Amino acid sequence: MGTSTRDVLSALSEGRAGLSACPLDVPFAAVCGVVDGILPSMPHALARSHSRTAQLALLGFEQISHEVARAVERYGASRIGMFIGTSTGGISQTEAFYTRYRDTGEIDSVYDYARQHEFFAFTDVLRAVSGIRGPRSVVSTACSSGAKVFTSARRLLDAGVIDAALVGGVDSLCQTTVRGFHSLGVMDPKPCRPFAADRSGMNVGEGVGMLLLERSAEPRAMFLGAGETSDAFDMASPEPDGRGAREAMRYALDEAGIEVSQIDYINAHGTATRRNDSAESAAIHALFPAGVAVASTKSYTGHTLGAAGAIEAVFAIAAIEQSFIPANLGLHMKDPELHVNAVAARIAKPVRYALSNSLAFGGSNASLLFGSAR
Amino acid sequence: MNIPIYLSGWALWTPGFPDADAWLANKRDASVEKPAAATIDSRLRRGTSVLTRVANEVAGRACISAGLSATEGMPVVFGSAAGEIQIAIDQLEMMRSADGIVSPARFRNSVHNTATGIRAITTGYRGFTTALAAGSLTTAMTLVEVAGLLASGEERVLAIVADESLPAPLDQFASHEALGVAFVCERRRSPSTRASVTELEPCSHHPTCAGAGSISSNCAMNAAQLLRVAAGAHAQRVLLGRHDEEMWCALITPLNEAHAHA
Repeated sequence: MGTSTRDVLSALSEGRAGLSACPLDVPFAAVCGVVDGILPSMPHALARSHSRTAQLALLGFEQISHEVARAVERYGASRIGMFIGTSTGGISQTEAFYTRYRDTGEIDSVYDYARQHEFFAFTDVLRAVSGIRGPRSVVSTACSSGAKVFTSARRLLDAGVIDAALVGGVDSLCQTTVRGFHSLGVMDPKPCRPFAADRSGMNVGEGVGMLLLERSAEPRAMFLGAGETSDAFDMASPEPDGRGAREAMRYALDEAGIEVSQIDYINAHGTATRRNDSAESAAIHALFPAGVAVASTKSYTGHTLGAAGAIEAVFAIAAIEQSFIPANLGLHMKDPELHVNAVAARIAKPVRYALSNSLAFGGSNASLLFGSAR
Repeated sequence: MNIPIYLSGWALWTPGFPDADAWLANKRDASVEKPAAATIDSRLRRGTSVLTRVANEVAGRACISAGLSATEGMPVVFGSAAGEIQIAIDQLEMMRSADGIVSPARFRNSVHNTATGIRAITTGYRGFTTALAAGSLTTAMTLVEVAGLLASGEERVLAIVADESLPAPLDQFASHEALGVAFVCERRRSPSTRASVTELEPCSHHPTCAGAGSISSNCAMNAAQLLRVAAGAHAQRVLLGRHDEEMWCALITPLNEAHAHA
């Protein structure tokens, strides 16, 4: 969809997806969400930390570097935290390393496990370029990672431990996830179609989303509430009735003090698998019996896994700022068994409050509620 | 950080030691090779890693240590630097097979939060869980996450820090045994409180800190050192991080001293 926030949000508004043939060498047909463009280079001093995940993280940081710099100046470096979600960290580097090792028996001297593979490694790069010196961690709860960082940050903001936080999510395409989801039989070899009658699975994507949370500022949007639950049901499948997702949305509404009727838009998790869309639709219908506009932006990005929660938070905020609800791409015929108002075409209308859902392996659910700053 | 954490129970597992007391007394038992993880039923346990079993083993034992059921439900913060690294390498090997496809059973258990997902299913707990990584700061950031939860009103949080051994060929880069440590953390001091964690904050190297120069590459070693001080007789600062990198510190005060200063 682009390598800048402006380009990506333009694509979202204009209904242009970033899906294309999977660039990885895999033994089956696959469509992926690919960041197509030149990514930032590692700073020279951090060359050993090179990974595509770190490059994507740098790309995301560049989009808000001025705001972060202002926060560092205003609050002090140690008063700013960093909480970033990822599901795979630098595994793509280890995939290449392992292939070479098995082919030749040699340990690649360029590969650096701690600086390239470990989940936390790319935050060293962000720390160096941002100057942030407060608490930092990587949240890795699979596909809810990029959403749960918001509450990690907010609890410390509320407790007065920090004054601001860089939050986000990042994941890069890798063999592990593309082949893994294929093994589960949940990949569509064509562009995914969330909530469609003919949907047949997801597309893996890559990407990054980053935001700056502040306790006091002139905000572009408000982070008003969150709900986090566990399904306690199955490692890879949601409860069929979507109970965990429903409870997460309910808790987010309660925390924000917002009524169901005030929600204008739900950015659904909407992976386009049969089970996810069925369970999430049941959850939404149970909580919003009168209906609410629902769209899954995974039809644009693919499922960006640990980045999805943060990217979709940005999309929910864009819907609020720019007064539109994006279309579910590929939704030519809605699944009649799904009782949700999945929108087939872009709707121009004021959006005051929006929910963004993230539902993950391990039964980890998070729902974030954003509101207009006006 | 001015958010106290009160510890009411703890547990430790590493090969050769059946429990924390044996580890503290250095009473090695060579027959202890794998964690029992008895709280996980056999259907769920199949296909899980040493990491997930260690994490669930210490989770159950820490709850018992705090006078609770092994399957007591409560918010869980799970810290692990490397996560499900054995399954990750297993999958890379599977990709080299003729069909190049990975096992769906292994992939289901490959995520960093597998241990918390299994714990939620085992306990029936439907609330907050999270999994994080912070390299050598993993113990420190696990405690920061716990402190945030307690400050937001949670009464009790289960903190688990664990890593399994790095499989070949990654053991070229760091070599350590599996180790898991868990603490039942509470917001308020009570008669069941056994130690407190206070003054959790970044620090530079301090000569009175326990642990400088003796930290192995397992991220849970910091948690084990914290446990050792908590189970001891005297308050002490514990380093949380590698002495050659960023460091955090915390003041650990055992029960008797916590009461003496009350």
